[in-house]
Amino acid sequence: MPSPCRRRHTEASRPSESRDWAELPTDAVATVLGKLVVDDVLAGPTQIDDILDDYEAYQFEDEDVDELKFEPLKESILWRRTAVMDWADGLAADVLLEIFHRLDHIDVLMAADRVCHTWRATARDEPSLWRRITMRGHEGIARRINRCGMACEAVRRSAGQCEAFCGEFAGDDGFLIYLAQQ
Amino acid sequence: MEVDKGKGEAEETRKVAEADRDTVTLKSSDGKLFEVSKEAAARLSTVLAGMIAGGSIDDNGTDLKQIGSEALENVVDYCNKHANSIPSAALISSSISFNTAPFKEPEEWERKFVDRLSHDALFDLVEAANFLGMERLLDVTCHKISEMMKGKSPDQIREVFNIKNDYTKEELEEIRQELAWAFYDD
Repeated sequence: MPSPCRRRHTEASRPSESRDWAELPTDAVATVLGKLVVDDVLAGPTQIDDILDDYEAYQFEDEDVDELKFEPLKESILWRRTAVMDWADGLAADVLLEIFHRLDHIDVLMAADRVCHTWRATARDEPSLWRRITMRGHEGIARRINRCGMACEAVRRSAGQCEAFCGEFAGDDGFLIYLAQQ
Repeated sequence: MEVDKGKGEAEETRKVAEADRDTVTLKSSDGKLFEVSKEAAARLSTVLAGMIAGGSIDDNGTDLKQIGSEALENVVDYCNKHANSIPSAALISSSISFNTAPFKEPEEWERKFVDRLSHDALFDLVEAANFLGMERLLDVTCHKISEMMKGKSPDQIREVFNIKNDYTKEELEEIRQELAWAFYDD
């Protein structure tokens, strides 16, 4: 039998039938969305898109609108106006490489590598990217990765070009021996 | 409106007079004209520097067919802002340590400059910076894009950049296998 607390929660999350939430005043919506992180706003249901459209229309029609109210939303709106450019294949290969150069190499291995074919080719087959390896990561990530394996993979991708390695949550004694042997 | 007959001649004189002027006119792919200080253009863009030195600058607007007006406006805006800014001590002294080298951290104004850009504008600007050989602007824009990727999962990155997952299930499994020994969670 569910606890009263649990039941209250279920009732509260039942979809509203009598209220049209899309009719919520724009500033109220902005306040609510402002409490979400940008990712949630972006990944949210399409209704949010509609509401943001309303917001934009509202903003352009009424110059006197209190901009501060929408401040937390600005970033979301900027990001949402995307979708035209082809970030996978449209970027010049050297630009993509420049971007990856600025990432922590843990991010390259764990994420950029798996985004799409083009990104993977850049992340994997460009030894220059691995010339100076920085693997700082963060504590949360350190528990999930095999530090030695990660570091060895990074050095392997450098194809012998690795000149410097800076690691905080990556690498261990075994790796240091491996690095010395390269 | 009546066409002024003498206007053509006046135009010619103006052009001659402007041959030694200290700005260059750039023309975007969609035909819009932008003026930028010659000094800043030459200092910030290797390509423009080469064109200025080689005399291939057209006073009626040097054609930059690869760059749209929005991106070019941002490029010119950046050049002007850059000309007005004095490099901070932080910028000069940074990049000595291993972590920041070989890239310099963006300055506050540069950060703000790219932060206000939409996704698409950022895309166009990074391409324009690359095309024009603007090392510093490329640095700043790439830094911004990398910030958008930091600490995110592949799914989140695809979401941010609206990239379609073009991997088949089999391929994903292959990648997982290939790097299986590097992760505990997979």
